[in-house]
Amino acid sequence: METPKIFESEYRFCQILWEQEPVKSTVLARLCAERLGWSKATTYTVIKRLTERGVVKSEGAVVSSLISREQAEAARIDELVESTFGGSLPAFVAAFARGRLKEKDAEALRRMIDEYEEG
Amino acid sequence: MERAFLDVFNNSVAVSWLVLAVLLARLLLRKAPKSARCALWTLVGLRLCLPVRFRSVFSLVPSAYTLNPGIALAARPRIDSGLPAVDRLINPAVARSFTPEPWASANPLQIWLYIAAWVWLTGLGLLLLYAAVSYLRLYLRMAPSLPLRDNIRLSERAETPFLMGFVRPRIYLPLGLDEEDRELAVTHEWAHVERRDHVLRPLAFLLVSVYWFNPLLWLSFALLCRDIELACDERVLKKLGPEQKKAYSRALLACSTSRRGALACPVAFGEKGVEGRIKSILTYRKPPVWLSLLAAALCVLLALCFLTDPPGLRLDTAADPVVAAQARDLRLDTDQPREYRQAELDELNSRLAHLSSSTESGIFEGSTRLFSIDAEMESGESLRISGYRAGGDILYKNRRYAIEDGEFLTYLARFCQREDTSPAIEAG
Repeated sequence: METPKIFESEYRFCQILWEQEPVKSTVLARLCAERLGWSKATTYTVIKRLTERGVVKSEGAVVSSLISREQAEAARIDELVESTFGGSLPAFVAAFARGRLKEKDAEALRRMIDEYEEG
Repeated sequence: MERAFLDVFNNSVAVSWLVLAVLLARLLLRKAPKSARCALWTLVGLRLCLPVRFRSVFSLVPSAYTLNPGIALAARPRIDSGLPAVDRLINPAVARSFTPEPWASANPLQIWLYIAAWVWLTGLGLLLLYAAVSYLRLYLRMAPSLPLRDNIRLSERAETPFLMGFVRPRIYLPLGLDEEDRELAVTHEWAHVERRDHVLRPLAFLLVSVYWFNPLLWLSFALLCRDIELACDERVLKKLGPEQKKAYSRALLACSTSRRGALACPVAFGEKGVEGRIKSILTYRKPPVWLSLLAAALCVLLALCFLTDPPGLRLDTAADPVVAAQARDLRLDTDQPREYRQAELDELNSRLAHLSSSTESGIFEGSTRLFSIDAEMESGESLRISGYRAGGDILYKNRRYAIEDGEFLTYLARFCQREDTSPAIEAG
């Protein structure tokens, strides 16, 4: 069976889960609040998403994992693939750099930086 | 509500002149500290949100009331742009399209104004909705983020480091950055917090949304965003020193490249600036002091000339008071002119001295006069104050000035109808 992809935040959640499982969702929510600063709603949303993807299962209020640490390690990705997820940042949010450069433009800029000498 | 729309429209025309002046000033201040540019945009913001404006002879704004508030009811509608050439061009067309027929029950302008006001309100509502929804989506997207330290969090869903939150802003960082890039990005975002950009930027967006029909203001917003980023870059460089220029540029580049290769996302609104920013960073030199002084002087000058409105009619009744006047209620065929008594003349002089908001406008030409006060000044000049259904104007030295001061118009109507004007005195 193909292991579903696991995003970094979900991986950290799983780490807590492996430590504690099987565990009640309310206890899990409390731990996530303590260690990750997540609200209860956020934790439940994550549990739901992972259940849908077959990474964890929840019977009644008890949550347990369906994949092992080794499997998760292999499936871990640190960037959300669909970068147009929900679109770009709203115009009124302050950001470091927006938009994406094409590789050749980036290459030209890289060269410009390297060649620059402080006069 | 139509009145609110007219005010917004008139202010939009007035602020456009300021924006043009700011664009010119930006060219002059190219080598000045970038925060000077942000100060200029602050002036624009002030004009957009200040509820009260002063009148001044230094004002370079051609007209504060391009559309007179009574335009919908005027017999011969016209615009008062403050530029005779423009008026000559537009007013014949306005007269042709919008002059009401005597038998019509409603002026065409009343209908158009009503429609326009609702279109404006709807546009504003949609923009605010978009802002609220996109912010909420971002907030939810970032909910399962991982803590790093203090108010800094990491998230695989962050495409670029950014700042979120109005009261206690948090910095969100993407995961793949190496430590040096990360710390430089944090420094940049902290500069935003220090400059209060997390509050100013949404505020600017809100103001521009109110005036959404003015393309010059969207241009201003785009340039403001760009200037804010440049100002933050400068602030970081000042803090870190010129040795960090290359490292900082590399961090900026790292956050701008898609690690997935050739996939280039569509450039977000007004942000196509990475190349410009890197050039600006690499060539940054501390600007000479005199440039900062020049920038400050320009700001004061622009504030004086564009945050004020043109003076319109100014009557110095202390120097040249009204010595005789007659009031008439023209709606009655049998009305006899009523001669002013001395106490009433004092009141009239006082009201005329304090009269605010009279712009030169011939808009009530041809409208039916309901009330009139014919006055003679000490110097021999004559003054005629006329009241119409839609407003009032003053004819003085062969020029007509529309009265926007509501209190004066109330006084005019009541006095001519022989009603007691003392409540108006108490209120004034």
